[in-house]
Amino acid sequence: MGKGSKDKRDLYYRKAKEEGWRARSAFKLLQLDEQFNLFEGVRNVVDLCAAPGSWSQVLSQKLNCIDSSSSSKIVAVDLQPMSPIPGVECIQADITHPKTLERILGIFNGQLADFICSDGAPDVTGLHDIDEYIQAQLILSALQLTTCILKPGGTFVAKIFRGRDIDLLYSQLGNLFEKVICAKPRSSRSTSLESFIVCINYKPQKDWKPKLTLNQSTEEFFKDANLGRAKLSESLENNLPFEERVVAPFIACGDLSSYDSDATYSIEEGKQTTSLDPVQMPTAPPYKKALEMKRKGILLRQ
Amino acid sequence: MAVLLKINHDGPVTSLGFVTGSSLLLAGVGSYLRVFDYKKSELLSSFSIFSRNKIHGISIHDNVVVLYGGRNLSVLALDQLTSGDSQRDLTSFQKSCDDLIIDIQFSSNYQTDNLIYILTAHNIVIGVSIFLSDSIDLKIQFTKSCSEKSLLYSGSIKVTQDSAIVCAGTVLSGILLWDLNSGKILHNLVGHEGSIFGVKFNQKGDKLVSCSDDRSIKLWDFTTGENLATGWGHTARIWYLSFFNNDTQVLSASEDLTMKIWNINIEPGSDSNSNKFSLNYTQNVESHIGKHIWSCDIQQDQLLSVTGGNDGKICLHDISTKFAKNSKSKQFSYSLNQLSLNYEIFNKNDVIKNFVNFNDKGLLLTTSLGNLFLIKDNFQKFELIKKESNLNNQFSIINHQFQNNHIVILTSTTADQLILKFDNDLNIIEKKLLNILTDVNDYPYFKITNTFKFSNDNNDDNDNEKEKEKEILNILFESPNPNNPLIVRTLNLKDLSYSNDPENMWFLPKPQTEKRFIITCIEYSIQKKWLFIGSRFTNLVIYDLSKNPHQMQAWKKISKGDSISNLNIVKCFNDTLLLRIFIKDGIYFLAKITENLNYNNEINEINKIINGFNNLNIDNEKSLFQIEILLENKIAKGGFLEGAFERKSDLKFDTLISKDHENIKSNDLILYGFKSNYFYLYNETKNYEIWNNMCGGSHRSWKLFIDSDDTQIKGKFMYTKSNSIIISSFGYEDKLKFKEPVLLEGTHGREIRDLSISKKSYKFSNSNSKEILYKHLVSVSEDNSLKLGRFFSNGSIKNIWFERIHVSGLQKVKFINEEFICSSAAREEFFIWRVQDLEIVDKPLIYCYDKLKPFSSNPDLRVMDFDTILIFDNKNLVGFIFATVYSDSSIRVFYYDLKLKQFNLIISDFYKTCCVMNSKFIINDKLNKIYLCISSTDGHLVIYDVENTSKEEGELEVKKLSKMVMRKELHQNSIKSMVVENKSCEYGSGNEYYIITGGDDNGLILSRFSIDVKTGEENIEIETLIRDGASSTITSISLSGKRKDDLKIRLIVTSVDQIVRLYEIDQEKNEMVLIDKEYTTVADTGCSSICEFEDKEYCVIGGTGMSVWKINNDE
Repeated sequence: MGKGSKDKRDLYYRKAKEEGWRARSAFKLLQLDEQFNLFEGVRNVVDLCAAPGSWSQVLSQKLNCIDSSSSSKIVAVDLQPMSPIPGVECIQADITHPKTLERILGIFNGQLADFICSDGAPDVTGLHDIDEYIQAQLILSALQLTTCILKPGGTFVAKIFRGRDIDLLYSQLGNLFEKVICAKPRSSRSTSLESFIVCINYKPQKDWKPKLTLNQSTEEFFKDANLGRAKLSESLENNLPFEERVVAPFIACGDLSSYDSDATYSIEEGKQTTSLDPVQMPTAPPYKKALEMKRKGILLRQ
Repeated sequence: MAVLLKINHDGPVTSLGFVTGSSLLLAGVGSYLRVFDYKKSELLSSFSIFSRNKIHGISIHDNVVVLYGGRNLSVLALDQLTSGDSQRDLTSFQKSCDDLIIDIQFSSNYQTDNLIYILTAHNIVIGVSIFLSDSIDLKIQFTKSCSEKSLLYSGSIKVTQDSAIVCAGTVLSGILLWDLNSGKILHNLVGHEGSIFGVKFNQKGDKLVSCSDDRSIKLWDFTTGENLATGWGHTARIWYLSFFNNDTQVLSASEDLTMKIWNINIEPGSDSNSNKFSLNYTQNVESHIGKHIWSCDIQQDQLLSVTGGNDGKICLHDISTKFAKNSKSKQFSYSLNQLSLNYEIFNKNDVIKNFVNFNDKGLLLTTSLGNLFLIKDNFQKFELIKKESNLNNQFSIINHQFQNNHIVILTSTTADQLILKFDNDLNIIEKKLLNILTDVNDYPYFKITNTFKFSNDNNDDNDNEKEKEKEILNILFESPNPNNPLIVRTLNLKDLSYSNDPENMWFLPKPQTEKRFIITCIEYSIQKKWLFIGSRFTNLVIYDLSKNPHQMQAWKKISKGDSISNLNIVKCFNDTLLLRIFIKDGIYFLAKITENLNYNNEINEINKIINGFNNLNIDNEKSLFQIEILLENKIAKGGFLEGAFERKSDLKFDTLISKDHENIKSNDLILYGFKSNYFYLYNETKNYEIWNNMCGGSHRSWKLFIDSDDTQIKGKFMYTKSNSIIISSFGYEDKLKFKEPVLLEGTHGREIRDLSISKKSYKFSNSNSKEILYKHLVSVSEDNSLKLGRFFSNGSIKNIWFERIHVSGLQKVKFINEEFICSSAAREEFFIWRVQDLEIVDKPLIYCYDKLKPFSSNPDLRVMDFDTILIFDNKNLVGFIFATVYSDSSIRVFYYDLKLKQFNLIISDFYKTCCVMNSKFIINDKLNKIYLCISSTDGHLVIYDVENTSKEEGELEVKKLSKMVMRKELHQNSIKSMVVENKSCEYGSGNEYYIITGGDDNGLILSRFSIDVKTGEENIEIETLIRDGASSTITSISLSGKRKDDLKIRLIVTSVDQIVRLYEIDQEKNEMVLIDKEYTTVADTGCSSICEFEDKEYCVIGGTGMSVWKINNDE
């Protein structure tokens, strides 16, 4: 799909470029906020898997961090480098590493976070079992850090894919938060499995102290947290152990009058018809060289 | 007892494993294991292994089979899988460990320690001992890890004499090699970019290959950890990698649908440490459709490989070095230099123009300078046939007839002919020179550009006729002058003279076309005496030579494309004939041709020309011949289509539960043609390339000779290349490693978006004349294709046609009656298809009957859904009313006239600005009302009264929708699925309708729409609201067939959570309740359809793959 047809097919894509957002996903956070009023009283914020940075842009604007007198602090973490965003402290780091945790706490002067979000999604292979596993691992990694750094009563928002085991995740999160909601902003296509979990009012497990250490699997981390599934067993279990499955309430957010991401719009007349360049080019994929070679026609049989 | 019973499954093939020392092949298809005898190409049995996960890996050691997938594993005895009486549900054997399993290997001392190593996604190896007694007992012996617990995407365990080396392919930090005993990291191989998707040792244990998201393949030295070579070639991710052929070659399989064979080339250095390595791929095999080859395995002793795709297909490949699809070893050539130098007539400007093949005994060549060469005595001897002294012309046009003798007819542009008769040893026994125009006085300036012969070679319909015809050969002469007719003369093969009898001489006028009429192919029916001519610019002409004067019918520009490349009679009956028509640009048709018995010769001028096939129905009535297109399709790849032939192939159908497999004789269609610089043979029925030859492209003289037997397609492809002639043979391997390359045919290569099943059942008799019932099943996919198949009453689905006429991702498909199907897609595509199951053809046929023209110049709207009303005139179907809904909120209603093939727009309007998802008519005959019910992404259900806007006589004006009678917010977000069912009169007023909707918000809602008979007022009530109808988007709802007095209405609901739910509506209580739910391994579950075979209901679920369910009665 060329830039032009994407402009037409996807109104949010075009709008994002017009309004200077680095990605259309900015609207998803804005619409989530419209529904849940996420930023009220929020000071310290962590944006996980932040690149290219559209959520950090939203956070920076909403918390007025560009103003140096603001007391709010935003930390954006990603493995990929990110171009700077005013009012946002970007760190290139691994979210599973204890050092990262220390660095964030350092920026917050030892205070805990009020709000943690993650818009991260791994590349999908198309093999559902593997994809679901990797997606679950990513969320659990974000949740690890969250349990170490989120203050009681705080909010956690993360992207999820409503595949076949999503009810397991809802059940696990239900043990850590008062309310777990599956939210779908209108800017997220209904044809996509993407949704967001909004976890409100963090209530740390009473007899469990989260501790992030090096070389520890998410299962080991949550071993004693009594979350339902993530248990290490001593023997191979017969059949499937009983796993609690819960369906989280679903809330669609964004006004019904807002744009529909599934609809095709004609570009308004009178407006410029040339297609806009993206605000920021996507980061180079690992297969960049293979693509170039293909373009040059040198991937041929010898 | 469960109400929903799963009886079949087709979908991605996620693992494959040959059983060494036998002809057994195990295949993981979803959570099912299928066991094949690959030599016989037979499915032996199928087993249910896991209750949720797919089988991702197979490890076999003697009689022990370990299957794993996700967190599950199952240890089974091979005997259990090969004995015919075993139980099919083996899910009670499944065990689970606490992490995703990456690889499982048997220890080197398995005989004594009974140990298997399980590598999990956190780079941990669990040692498990297996106790095989009456039951299978597994015990964890140890858990080992190295110091890095990185997350793994891939990995393998190389078992060594006293330990094992773990090759861990991490998500972020390259490849880790660690020793299992010591836990010591031996190497961290970095150099790839992105996640590692595969890493494997060679047999010797001194080298490794790996691949990653960067799409390269790297060869590593184990001792030094040095990257020896990097190979590039795949254009997407690589999912399988292994050494084979004594570690000299590497095989890879990828998301890009190719299986590649790589050679490890070694350029020797001064010592073994300075050897230079390189990786080049020499073979490229493409035999799957859509996206992804997920699984592969190699039978090392036999040099065989097997691939399994997302398309559910399993394909065998011979990977021995001898095998080479474009091998030059089975090819020999003669150059003109070589031939002419002996006679001292070599001229570097001379090139081979044309040739004749004498049944593999020799060749006759003509050259551009007029030389004639004969190659004979098993291609050992060649001679120059001297030009006749009184002929200055070049005999560049050549025809050949083989009967008891070989007769070659050479023609010059000035109508001179040289006729040569050869004996079996290719000695010339008779030679004749003549001019064909000497006794044809009317055309003195008839320049000949081409000749075509026709006789009874191909048709064996009538034996008497055949005997008579054997003696003669008809030759057609073509001149470039449009005013000259085509001259057909009859050559007596006995005395090599032309008949002067006017009965045997035809002067056929050419059809008057704007562009010059140039013949590209001919076909003749000896039984009917019909001559078919195909030309440039796709004109088709039929001459009826049975009548004198002859009669003719021409169709101009029957299809887009450059020319008709081939015409081919398939069958001839009393009054009809089946003809295959091939368009060079890659389109093929099957047409039924009948004589119009009502044709009035006096009214219609002989030269009547019909434009195209578009208005066939209208024009047919007036024409001499009536054509009905039964099938139309476009080839899979671009390039030139030259023709096709059929090949016998067993049609096997089997299911998960039935133990007997049915076999029916059937034919595969084999297409051939050119793609860029190669010639190919392609199995169109099973969708794979059989053979290709790098001949340099289509611009050359070439001939294809097929001499297939029941076991294999064999033949020769001969072609000229500059001044050489090349003969390339295929299929003549001494010993076949397998009977048939395709073990399992599979479904679509990408997600199935919608499917529909015919109401009518058809019958089929197998070899034991046992009758089997089937229905037509049509499915459409994101891969732009529409498939028509048979759905058998035992639950088996067999695809027949893979239609590639759509150019964008499909949305919906529906049978609108027994004969017509409609499909809708992106880019404003809305097509009407006709399906016919005729006794005269061995399979149902499908033809794109008409297409709705897009409204915008740059169509980019998706036609989301449609509904249909059938229009009858005196019980005859005359047309349809369609309501199409679009992604830009447009709603359009058309009347389609079947006879005129015309869409008439009746209503054009729009809902709001959001995407409309569903469209359904509600018709109330009693109150004479028609409503249009739509649902959209804003969660609302909207009902319009369209009664006033229905078609009236003489009405042309396009109307707007009248005011909506109902708009109700039902769901929070998009309404993905909607069905409407009339509530039975027994339980209500008869003017009540159930509308069941499923949303993106997990909700399932039963609403009741009613019309008050007295006031005419409409009302809608929510009767049952199930907020968590599923844990994810509800993607489809299918109604079961309702009997008149049934209290309960059943429906199947599918969701992306992969749970199939059966609900029941109690019509008295107006209440919907859940009856049963079952898990399906079909991911991206998106569509469903219910049908009935002899009172039993079946449901087919589609997504990434298909599954078939039987709906039992719970009583």
